[in-house]
Amino acid sequence: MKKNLIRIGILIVTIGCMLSIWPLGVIMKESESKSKAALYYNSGPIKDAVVFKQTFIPKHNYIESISIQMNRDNTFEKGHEGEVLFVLKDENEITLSKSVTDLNQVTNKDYYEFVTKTFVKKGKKHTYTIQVTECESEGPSVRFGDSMDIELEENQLLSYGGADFPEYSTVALYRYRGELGIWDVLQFETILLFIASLFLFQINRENKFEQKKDKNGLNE
Amino acid sequence: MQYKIKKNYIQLIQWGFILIFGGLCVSLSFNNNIWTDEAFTMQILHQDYWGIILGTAIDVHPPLYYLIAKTAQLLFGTSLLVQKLITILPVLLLMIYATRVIKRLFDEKVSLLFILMLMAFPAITEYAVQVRMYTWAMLFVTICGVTAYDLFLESKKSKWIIFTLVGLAAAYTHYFALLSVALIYGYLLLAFLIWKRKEVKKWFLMSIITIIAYSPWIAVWVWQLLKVAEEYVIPDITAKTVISYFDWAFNTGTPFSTQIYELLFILSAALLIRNIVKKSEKGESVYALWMMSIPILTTTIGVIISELMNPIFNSRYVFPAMALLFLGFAIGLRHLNMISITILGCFLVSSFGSQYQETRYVEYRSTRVVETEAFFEENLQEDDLIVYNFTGYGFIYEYYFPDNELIYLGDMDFAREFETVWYMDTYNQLYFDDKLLENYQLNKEFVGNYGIEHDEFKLYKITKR
Repeated sequence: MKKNLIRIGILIVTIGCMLSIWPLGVIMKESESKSKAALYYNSGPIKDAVVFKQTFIPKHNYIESISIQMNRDNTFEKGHEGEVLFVLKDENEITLSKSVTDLNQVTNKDYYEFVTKTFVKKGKKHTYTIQVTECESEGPSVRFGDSMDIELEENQLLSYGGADFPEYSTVALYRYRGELGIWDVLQFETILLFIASLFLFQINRENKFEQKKDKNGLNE
Repeated sequence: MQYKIKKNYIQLIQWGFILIFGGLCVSLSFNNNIWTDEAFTMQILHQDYWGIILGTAIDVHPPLYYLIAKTAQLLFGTSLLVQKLITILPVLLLMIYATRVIKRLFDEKVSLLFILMLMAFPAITEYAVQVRMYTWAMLFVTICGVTAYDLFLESKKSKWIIFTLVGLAAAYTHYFALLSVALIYGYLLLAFLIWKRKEVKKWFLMSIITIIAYSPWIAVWVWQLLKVAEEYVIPDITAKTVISYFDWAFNTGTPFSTQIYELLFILSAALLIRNIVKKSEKGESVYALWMMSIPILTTTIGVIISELMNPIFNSRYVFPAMALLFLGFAIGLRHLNMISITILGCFLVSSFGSQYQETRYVEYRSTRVVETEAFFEENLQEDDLIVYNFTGYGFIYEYYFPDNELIYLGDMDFAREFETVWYMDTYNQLYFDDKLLENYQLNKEFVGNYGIEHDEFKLYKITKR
């Protein structure tokens, strides 16, 4: 009776774990989309009211981070002072993630990762804006390229200082956590079944061993 | 009768997996993607046999693989496809070997699990189509390890000959395969000392023969060792690097796959230790644990040598010994019930599916080689010069542009006569000073974004005004 309860418990836990993998999708897989190497341009300086804005459509439901490239050469003489305000919003203009970074921390002409760690709506338009404040120099710029060369499916409309630049696209790297592929799901489901089978196998062995012992006892 | 049907059924499954694996590996071969080491292979194959031996002597590896590749080239042609097929071959031979010898020494469950684990090994598809020596070294090391057990059970002249030959073949293929083989020799001696002392004499005789047969290369080996002690291209080994070896070995791209394999490893080792404690199939279990320790010891020794000298160990150098780890796995897990083994088999097949998908992406879609080749096919003239600014890819460019003059930007004299220069500008490499355009009256026109392997560059056409 007790053994049967343990067996049922193992089965319930296993089925629960399997369902949490699929269809519930508790475990997610990391993936990323990155701009192709291209002829890069620098936007004009971003500072105070002059904002750099990129609309994009995420490929998955959770976004770990968005990395972009900034050129800080113009801020060199003033010691790169200033703060970078990064804001990610959904299609209803609701802020999903916001961060303020010291301009000194931002890598020059290479990817700088703005950690977002937020759920987004796959396939829906989102925007992120980059704004620099407290900056005495002319202000840094953001790198972008021709959309055809950048080849980043997510990127939609790029705006700078209130004007739209439909043919251009930010140099970016989107890091996601997304749903598992079929092979991943199969690996998880089978390994869970395997672990369960080991426990059940062990219980059966013990059962047989006890039965054998009882039988021997009776025989005596 | 029922047993025979079951036996044939397992055999059929084994052959089915071998055929599927072979077919899928071949499907990964129809591309022209190579990296630096493969470019070296293709370059050295321009030499004759003696040239190859001399060429490898001044490099850092022994020559056997290149001689096999050269023979394949002479027999089947100079294409990259032939070379890729030649590196798939040893994996298939190893699987076939499992259906014969491993099955004979253990049973069909072990040979089936071994084949499935080899298929599921995350690096296997990548290395099976990489024109390097690793799969051949794996074949030799594994046969050496299995023959050691066979020899221990029954000492026969033919087995001693096979053992010596495959050991030598491994040693002439890769130095870390030599290290793995040395460990197998050591374990065999230990087994003889403990259980069969009268065989020790034969072991010493065979070891002397092996050393004599390897002596022509020992001087080269010492010279190469001194060379790499001074300078080698492998980055420093840190704790992070050591942890990354596990990911290299077991990460299929699925979250927690490394941990899952580690769990299987612990389970398998625990079952083997239980067998030893219970004294059931003790010899077999000791053998399995020893074989599982070979890749671990190879790595440990590699890391220690790297610490004492220069970093000379790379995760891929343990590849030749990895099949022995899977053999140990298979032996450890063989006594699970058939349902558990079937489910484990399904896990291994899905693990293979995952890594095949990943390798297919890497081989066919991760680079811009196809469009770059198409562009140059259409636009490159015989007298055009190709200038690049990324020295690390010099070897690779030589493979892709065998008929044109290739010049590193730092060595380019723009005063010389030329019609067209195609300049491949890799980001963050040597800077092209635009003053050159004025000084030499040049036009520089951006053509597009292209790439070879993982080097993406902007392509410019430079002509004289």
